[in-house]
Amino acid sequence: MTAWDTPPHLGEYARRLFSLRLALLGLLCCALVLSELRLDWAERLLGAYLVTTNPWRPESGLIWEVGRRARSAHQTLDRILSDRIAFQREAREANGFNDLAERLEPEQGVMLSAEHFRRLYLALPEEAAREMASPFRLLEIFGRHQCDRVYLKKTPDRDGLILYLLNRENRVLESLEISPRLLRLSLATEGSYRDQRLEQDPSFAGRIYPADRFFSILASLPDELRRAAVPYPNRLLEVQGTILRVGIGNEVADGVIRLGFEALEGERPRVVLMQGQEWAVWQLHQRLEAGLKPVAAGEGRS
Amino acid sequence: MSPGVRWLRRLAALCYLLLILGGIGALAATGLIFWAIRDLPQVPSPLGRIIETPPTEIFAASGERVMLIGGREAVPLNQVAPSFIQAVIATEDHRFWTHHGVDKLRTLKALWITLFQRGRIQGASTITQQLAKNLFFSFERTWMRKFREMLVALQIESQYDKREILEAYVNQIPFGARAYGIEQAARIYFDKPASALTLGESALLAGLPKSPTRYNPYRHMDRARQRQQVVLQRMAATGYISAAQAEAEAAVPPTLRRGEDHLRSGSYFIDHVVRDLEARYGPEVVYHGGLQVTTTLDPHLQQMALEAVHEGLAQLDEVLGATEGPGQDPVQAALVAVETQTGAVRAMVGGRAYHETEYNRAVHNQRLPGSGFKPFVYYSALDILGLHPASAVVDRPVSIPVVGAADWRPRNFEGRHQGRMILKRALMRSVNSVAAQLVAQVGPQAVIQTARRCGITSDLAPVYSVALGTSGVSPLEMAGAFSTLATGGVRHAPFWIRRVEDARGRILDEHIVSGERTLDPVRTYQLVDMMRGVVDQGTAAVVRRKGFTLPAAGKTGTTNDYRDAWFTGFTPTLCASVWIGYDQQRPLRDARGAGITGGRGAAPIWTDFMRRATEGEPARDFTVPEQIRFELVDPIEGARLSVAGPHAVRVALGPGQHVSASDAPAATPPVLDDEGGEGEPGSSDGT
Repeated sequence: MTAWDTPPHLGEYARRLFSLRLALLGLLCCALVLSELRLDWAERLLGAYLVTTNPWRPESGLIWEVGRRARSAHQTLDRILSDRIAFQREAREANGFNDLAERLEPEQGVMLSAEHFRRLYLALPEEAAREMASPFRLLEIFGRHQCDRVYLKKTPDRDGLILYLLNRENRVLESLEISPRLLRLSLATEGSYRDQRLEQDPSFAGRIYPADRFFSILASLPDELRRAAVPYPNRLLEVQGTILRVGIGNEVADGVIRLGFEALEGERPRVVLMQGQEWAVWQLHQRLEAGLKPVAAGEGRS
Repeated sequence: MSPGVRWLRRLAALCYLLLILGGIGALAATGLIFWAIRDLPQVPSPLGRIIETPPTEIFAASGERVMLIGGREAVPLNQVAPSFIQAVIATEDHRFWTHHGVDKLRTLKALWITLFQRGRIQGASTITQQLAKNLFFSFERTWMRKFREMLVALQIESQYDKREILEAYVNQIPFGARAYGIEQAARIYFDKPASALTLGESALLAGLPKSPTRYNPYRHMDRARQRQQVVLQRMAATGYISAAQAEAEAAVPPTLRRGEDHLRSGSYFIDHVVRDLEARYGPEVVYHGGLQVTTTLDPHLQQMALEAVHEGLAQLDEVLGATEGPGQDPVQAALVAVETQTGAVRAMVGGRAYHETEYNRAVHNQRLPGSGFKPFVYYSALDILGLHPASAVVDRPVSIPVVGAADWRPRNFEGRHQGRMILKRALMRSVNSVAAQLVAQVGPQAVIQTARRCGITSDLAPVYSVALGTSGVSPLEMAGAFSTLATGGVRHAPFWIRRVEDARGRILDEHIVSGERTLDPVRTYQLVDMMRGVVDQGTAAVVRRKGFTLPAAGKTGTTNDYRDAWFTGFTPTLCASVWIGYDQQRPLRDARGAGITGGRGAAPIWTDFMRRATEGEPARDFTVPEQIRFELVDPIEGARLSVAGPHAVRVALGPGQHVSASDAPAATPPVLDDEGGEGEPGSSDGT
């Protein structure tokens, strides 16, 4: 038998060369090549296969990187905006300039609507309001110059507040400064609220007393002294929950001393801040000290 | 065995070997495909996703959009001029409609040339391959990158139809000048939508993607037109147009958007805005966050500033005998215009040509202001020494002792001394010896403090020579600081971004226009009145000679050896600072060797700009404080004159300030002596 790979003579070679099988094979190869050139079936086949693998392939390359950066940029912007919106919401909840000042970070500013500003201005004690800005001047600004918004930030020394009354073009119509003294006056009427315990404010250290004792001594004092020590008792009546302890501040500023009234609103401790005249608070403090030692957290009236 | 059989056997063996090698090759190719597919990037669906990222848009104060950063301005294919599509296909991939992602014949030809013709590399990328490369791959030249790019192209062709592919392609190709996509390119280069492009314009744009920098028509119009001709010839060769059409279009010079364009003319300003945005929010947010930024830019003033600087520099080039060419260091200029009542920067030119050098001399150039700093010295003297504009001083040689160093002996610009004169005249004539005496009296710290109150923020050396401007400042600072004088002492910090919003219109930042009184209004007015003298009759009298008639004040500045020439001046509403000089701090001298002063070099540019910027504006004077009264005085002794003579000088006096009668010997304030103490009137040795 003739070996398949070693034909013995030329005739055999010729027979094989012109065999039907080889011709068909050649035609097939030519058809494959020509059809590929004409119909691009290999590219189509490969392309179609690649489409099927597409979902499992990585999101890599320039366009995906750009997409990721865009997502990250939007997240950053959303964060900036949500912080801003949250702070604006908090600012809207503030019940006075002092409260706002407490919430503001040194470099932070807040935009108030003209209505909100008016509300805060009207809540100021008359003396403080007059000192801050004449109501006639404000009437002029709000009427003639169409004050649209008020931008508020801390003064460079961080103790007071500066307010810019703005028109629609963001141009300052008037700038007003609220000094630390005015803020303290503001505190007297607005009663600042803080979600904390008295111990968290070092100015009350060693001067925290049970509320029942405080109020019973207060009730025993002459009316003039009571009003001087706790000038706005209605603020305390507005507090939800029971007042448990009272702290007396250890600093005197402009003749007033800070008082802190700690209450439990549900499970949440809250301190209402107020200011009393130094002379009256001093007398009250003397009487408290005379009959009682200061108390620790949880020892107040239940 | 016959030799024929032997030979055939060898041939057969060779064929078998080739078959085996071919098989191995096919297997290897299949393996390579599967290996390359493993981390082949996923193709997004729809393909139009490439333009989903909103661009950061920068607007002028007028609301006109001046720049897009990132993002793409995509248009559907039916809103692109057919001539552009034909031009792109003819140039980039004339078998685009028939191939399936890869042009095999072109690829084989390119392969042959690259492999067998030394030194030549032939590209064969189809439009689909180019799209794949632009979307997914870096520009590194490797065989594997090319192979993967080809695979992605095959997938894109299988997944999308030809029109979708073409639309994605024309909307993302870079055309240079920060234009991505045909719509942006059409607007930036021809100020029209992509649908309105003519054949010639289409051919010019279609030629740019090959090398946007090399064929940039603003920089290399000759190269751009040569490339345009190539595109037109390709269009003719592929049958889209006739040869006659190609020839006719090639003969028509393209009309680019006039004055380059707002994008380019405002580029120094916009660069400054972008840097500021990056500092505030980070580059990622700026380039991918889709911010909406409203700036203070006034496109009309910007155009006027640009024209004034270009024309001024052209005149200077003639005077200086400058020649253009590579390696030349041309004289540069910077101009900043600030709205005095708000601090809004309305125009900014940071150099001769942004496309030549992007270094912003208006903001970053810390160049010595020379006598431009004297207003701060004079204000300090008015404020601390109680002098007034009619106070008599003596222009004479001075020698000021400096601890631990040689005495400071400043010289006058003219090299001579004029003896007695009033303070206002000393400022009008920019007398160095008088400024030196004043700084010796008030101390350099006082001058620095005044400069700070006006808004100068650069480091200032606390030395006597600070009075003559020996610490570098930028034109932006000078314009901001002189604006404080224009407003009577109320400082508005210069700003350039009015408002920043996100893509949904939520406000991220807005500028509050707040002024802070930092200077006394009476002293400031007195200073401004003296500076009006500089413009009306002093070192900047060229302003009036060139026909600027509105009330204006200012101060020239020229540094040692004429390295810098300044003029900063203002009307009640607009303040502009102009600097000219060489980057390499060479002296500014004309062909005859005469130096270029601030009055000769910078003030004319200022005048040209201000004349155009204030055209049609009614004359509005500086606000005069109630306590100010005016007197006519003798310019030498400062004595009051009852009648206005040719030499009479009008001075502004504040409360409690008096001048002597015309027959009185001297003005009341004392003359300054060398040691900084108060000397007797007439005790100087001035000439």
